[in-house]
Amino acid sequence: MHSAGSEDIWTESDLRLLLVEDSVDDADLLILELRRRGMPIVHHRRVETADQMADALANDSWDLVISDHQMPGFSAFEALDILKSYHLDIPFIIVSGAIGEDTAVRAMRSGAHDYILKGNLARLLPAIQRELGEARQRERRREAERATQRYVERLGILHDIDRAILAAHSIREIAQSVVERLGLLLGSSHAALLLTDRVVGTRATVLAERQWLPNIAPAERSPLRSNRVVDISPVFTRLHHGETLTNIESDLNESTDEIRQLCTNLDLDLDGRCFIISPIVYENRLLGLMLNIDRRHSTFSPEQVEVASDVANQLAIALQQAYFAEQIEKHAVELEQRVAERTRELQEANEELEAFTYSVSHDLRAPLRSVRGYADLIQDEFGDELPGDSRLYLEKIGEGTHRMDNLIQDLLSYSQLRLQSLRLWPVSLSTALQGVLDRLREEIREAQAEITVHDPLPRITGDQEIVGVILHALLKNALSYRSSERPLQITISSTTEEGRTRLTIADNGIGIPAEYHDQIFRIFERLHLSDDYEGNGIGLALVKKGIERMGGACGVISDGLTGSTFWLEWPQKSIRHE
Amino acid sequence: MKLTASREIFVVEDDPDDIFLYRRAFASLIDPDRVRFLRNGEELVSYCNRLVGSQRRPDEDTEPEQELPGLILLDIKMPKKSGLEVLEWFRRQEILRRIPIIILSSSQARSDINAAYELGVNAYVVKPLIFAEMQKTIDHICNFWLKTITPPSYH
Repeated sequence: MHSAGSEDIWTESDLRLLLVEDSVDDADLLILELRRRGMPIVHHRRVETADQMADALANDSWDLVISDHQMPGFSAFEALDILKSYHLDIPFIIVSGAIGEDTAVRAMRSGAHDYILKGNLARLLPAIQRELGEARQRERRREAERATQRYVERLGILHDIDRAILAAHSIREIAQSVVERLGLLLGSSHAALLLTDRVVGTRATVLAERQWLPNIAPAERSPLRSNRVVDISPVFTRLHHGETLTNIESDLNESTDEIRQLCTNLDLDLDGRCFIISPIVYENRLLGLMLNIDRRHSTFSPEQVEVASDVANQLAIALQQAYFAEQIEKHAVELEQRVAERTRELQEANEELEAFTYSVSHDLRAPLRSVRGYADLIQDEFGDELPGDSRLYLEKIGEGTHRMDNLIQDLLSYSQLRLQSLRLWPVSLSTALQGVLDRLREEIREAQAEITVHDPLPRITGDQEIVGVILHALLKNALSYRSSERPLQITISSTTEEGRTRLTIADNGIGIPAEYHDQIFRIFERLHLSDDYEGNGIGLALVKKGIERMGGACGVISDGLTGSTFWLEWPQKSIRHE
Repeated sequence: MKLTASREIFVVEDDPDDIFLYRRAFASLIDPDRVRFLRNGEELVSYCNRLVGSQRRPDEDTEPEQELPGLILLDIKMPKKSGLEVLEWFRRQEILRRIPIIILSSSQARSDINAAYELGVNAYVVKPLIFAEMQKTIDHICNFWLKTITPPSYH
């Protein structure tokens, strides 16, 4: 019934057999028989007491237990109990003489895999093969479950690392949060993270390190203190090419020269230890290396090496991003410093200019007053005695000093307008205009000007003083450039359109040819000789600078013959109607 | 010794031309002896300091009566101590702070004008260009500050 070919069906090799049997002869006979049938038994042991059974299970590994049923002082049931207490999933087959049906059922319920009558090898062999196969499958399933479990755990830790990296604010924080988790993730007893120098790539700085061994003796304490700089040139090339260095397959005591050299540089003794040195590479650049050492186990598994690589790759991205972020921050800080510097320089320049203008206007006026004062004294005290045209000349001196004084005052106004800080308040144009008209009463009377104001003028948001300066300059301009052919008429009115306020000052003076409409607002630009008309070329520049500082605009409409209409416009946001 | 207010005007001015013109302007208005010219603020400060200091010495009771200025006309732009600094010093003194001080300056800068009033000047006047106006201004000042007002006392 059984051919010799039955030898072929043994898929296992190196089977280890535990026999629970009080009879040495029966045991030997069974081994002999099984071997004859091709069963590849490399090791077997016979036990006949509970102690022997426990000892065998505790100190050796087994693929199969074949047990007699009834022995003096021991039984298959007791053997089964001991096996169960060890939580071992090993096929347990009872081979025995006559046995009651109920006993057989009880044995199966207790966990025996089969029950076979002594001498019935024809049944025993297939049973063994079947049970070994099933045990193998159960083991595979368990292994798969364990792998899944490990995978889930590692995934959890990797997520944890991801979160830690995201939460980290600096390269050092990232390094520390990752190194902290390597003990759990890879079972390392010692881990460190080194960052390569951006300039000298073969030099690396210890960024973070951690040991997990309890009660570390001082001699065992890691020499890889934070910030220590290490020469990694022995392994630079291999790491730079993305190679992970590990002694997983080589003899633990036979490190390569490169590793040996690195160990010397690190002051670490890696002999007899298993380690993983993972490169941290980003776009062909070695950013650093991650070192894992396990003193408790003889080797890291390929899976652990792979996980280490995953972490190293994650780190590469995180470190590069953190590096960029730190660079950006650094640049931002530098930029801020530069802006502050420039602002200070500008302020100093402005202050200097202000001091200069102030000093010039003040110091120019003092001698001018002397000139005017003495000229006036001559006229007052010796007027009657002066010969010929000399009184006229004195008058000319007087007029000159007057013009010069106006010029100095306007220059001062202009520089103040440019440099002074704005004080924006609601300003009533009616009130401001009235103030200016009062100040110019004398000139208006002299020019015999007729001034019409279309009240009420609106309220704008502006600097009271600057508004006054602007209106004063525009009215003086109208008074100065009046036509000799007709009596001067000035009309002041306002419009509000789309929230913008426009004030117009129209005169019937000599007008301004279109080609000069831009030029007249530039400082010191004059179209006429000073003998013909009053004015110093600053007034309209004041107008333009002043309105622009308040965020508004100005312009002129003129045909160059029948008069000029100057307009001022205040921006929308600053409008408040009366 | 008794410290009293004089009817004297103290003019602190460094520009000799301005001093000359002041003199002429004052000439027709009040007795020239009643106008005292000082070339800088420190002279004024030490003069007033000396008066206040000597008041505390009992052995000098026989000395003639010492007089504080009835009015000070102060220029702003002067070497060493500026007019504003002199003004500030006076306004910080216990008794001397009562002396009426008028600033007469070429400066029309808003910053100068406001600073002077903040420091407690009694009036800020811009020096007129035309001599006749200068005369008019001095006339107004004398009329008001020497005749119209009631001066403070210093004891």
